[in-house]
This record gives sequence, C-alpha cells and structure tokens, in this order.
Amino acid sequence: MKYGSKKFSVAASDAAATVRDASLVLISSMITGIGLKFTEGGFSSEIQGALVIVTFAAVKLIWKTVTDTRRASSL
Amino acid sequence: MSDIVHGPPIGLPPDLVVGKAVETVDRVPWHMKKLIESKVWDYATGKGEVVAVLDTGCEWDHPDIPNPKFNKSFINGQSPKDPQSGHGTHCTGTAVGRNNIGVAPEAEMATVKVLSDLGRGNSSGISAGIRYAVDNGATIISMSLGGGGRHPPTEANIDYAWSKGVFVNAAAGNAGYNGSNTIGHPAKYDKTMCCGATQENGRIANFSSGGREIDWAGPGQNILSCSNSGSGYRFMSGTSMSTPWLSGTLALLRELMRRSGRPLWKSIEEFRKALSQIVEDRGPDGHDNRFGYGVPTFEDIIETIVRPELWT
Repeated sequence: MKYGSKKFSVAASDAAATVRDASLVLISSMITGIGLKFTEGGFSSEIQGALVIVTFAAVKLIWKTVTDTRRASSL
Repeated sequence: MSDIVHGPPIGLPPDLVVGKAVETVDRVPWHMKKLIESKVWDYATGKGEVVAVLDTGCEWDHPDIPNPKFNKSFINGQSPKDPQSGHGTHCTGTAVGRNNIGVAPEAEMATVKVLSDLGRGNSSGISAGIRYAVDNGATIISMSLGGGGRHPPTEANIDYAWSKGVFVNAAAGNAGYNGSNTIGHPAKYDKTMCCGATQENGRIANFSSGGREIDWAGPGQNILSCSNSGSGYRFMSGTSMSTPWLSGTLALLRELMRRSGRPLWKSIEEFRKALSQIVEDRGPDGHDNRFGYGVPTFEDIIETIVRPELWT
C-alpha cells in the first residue's frame, strides 16, 4: 500500500460502473417523464422554471459522464 | 556501444551539436553522459524488454527509432505513426532511441496513441491503452501525461499491469511544488512509479511537481532527443522527458535481473524497497517530496545487480 492512498479493485470499479449506468438510466427516465408532463402543461410556471434548471443540470451531468471529461494532456 | 553515430543535427546550439561520428562522451547529451561513462551498456541494453510509450504517437521513420513491436491509436481518425506532434517521438527516443539518444538502445518499443496530435486525451483512452499494451507483451509502460481526477478503470488496469509483471511509469507533472501536493493522475495511483525531473546541475527542476507519491527522479530539463521532422533532434523539458529516461532505466534493470538469474520484483512495494540500493539520495535524507527515493545511478545498478561471475 503506497502511503495510505485509496485502492480500487477490478470488482470495485465494475460495481462503480454499474451504479453509474443505473443512475444514468434513472435520470434519463425522470427527464422523459417530466418532459411529457411539462409539454402537457401539468406544472405551474414557477415549477416549470425550476424544472428547466434541474433538467439542464441533469443533462449536463449525463453529458459529462458519457463523454468522460477527465482530460489528460502531455507533460 | 562505443560507436556514437548521429544523423545531421537540426538547429542545435553549437556546444551541443552532435556530429556524424561523435567519439567522446563529452559531446553526447548531458542526460546520457553518466550512463555512458558507467559502461552499463556492457551489461545491459534493454534487450528482451518492450517499452510501450503511451503518448501522441511516434514518427518511427526517424533513423534512431526502431519500428514498433505493436502499435495502435485510441484517438479517432489519427494514426499512431505521428508526424504532427513531436512529443511522443521525443519521449520514445529518450527511452529506446539508438545511437546514444536513448537509455535502452536495444529494447523494443511499442507505440500506443492515447493523446491527440494536440497532446490531449481522456482517461478512457488511457485506460484502454494500458490494457492493450499489457495484453500485447509490453514489459514497461511509459506515460508522459497527466491530468484529471481519479478514474477507477485506469487504476484497475494499472493493477492489472502489475499482476502481469508490467511496470508502469508516469510523469509527476509540471506544476512545481510549494509544499502542497501537485502530482496528477495517473502518476498518483498506488501502483504507478511517479517520476520527478532534475536539471543538469543535479538539482530538482523548478517545474517538477512534488508530493509524497514521488518515487524517483531523472533528467528532465533541456533533454535532446528525436524530432518528428525526419532525422533531426530537438530539446524539450518537463517530467515528460524524465519519465522515458526512467522507463529506459527500468528496461536496463529488468534485463540485468533476468540475466543475473534473479527473480523480478513481484510487487511495486518490493521494487520500492530495492530502489534505495540503486538510487542516489538527493535532497533531504531519505524519501522526500521532490526526488522521492532519489536519482538512479548506473554504477550502483551495476554494483548491486551484476555478479562478476556472470560475465566471465
């Protein structure tokens, strides 16, 4: 163990990936459901405004995860 | 290995111009002088080792660079044979370049392009590149790159590399050090050898990142190596340059261990324990946050590993 830094095993990373994928599916479903109700006029204007912000944040999270923004560069 | 032959130099300052047939070590690049003076190449040249350079690619048409044992690009639409960015070519030259440019001149090399021609990449490509290199026979992985946060799949593949006996060597970073840890990933992972950079005067380079993860340091400032412009050479500085120098050193070490009939280190912890015997302690006594355990010296490597009876 090097200087007490955190270790990951293959199993742990697989589990992390599974949780991440499940979260993405859940968030995607929520966005779809909310979007349907939104277009049907089922929310007040205040809630609609809040939903736009929340949806934007969720889409950004999905985009960051899918595109892997952990960038590296030459040194 | 006493015949030192270089191609025509391009744009080098007069005191470092490398002639067609340089015969004295006084005229070889500073980062190669001590190595050549030590005569370590009488004992090991990296033969039998495969250094995989995960970088921007490599221009292997350069006369000092061997053809890759294997190569692959993990950057869409860009070839591993890289005429665009000289970074990977320079690093490859320092590790395995022929004609007194590289530390392990008879090691094989592999080119794994995980950075774009502009020197950018992402953790997924690096992780896949590590796995590819291990599965195709690399014995040393050299990564002159860094950035981003922890990426568990990359760390898992570095663990996988060690489980197959493959050493992973990575650049600490060029953020300098003022007391706060400035080391980036992948050098920061537990099973990565983390490389700092020194200057010609033996001091640590100002840009060299620091922190408790530093394992060792090697020449990294004003390093002369292969250019991607045909057959020329160029100077570059950074922990990117010390990393392939230390990867070449790893190739020599591994060959010496094999040839002397000794078992290779089975874990990075075991290797770190052995390090103290083959490095010169610099900076504060013992391990420190700039030099790590120290700078390898080829005299110590020979004295520690080579048994005289082996060569008689």
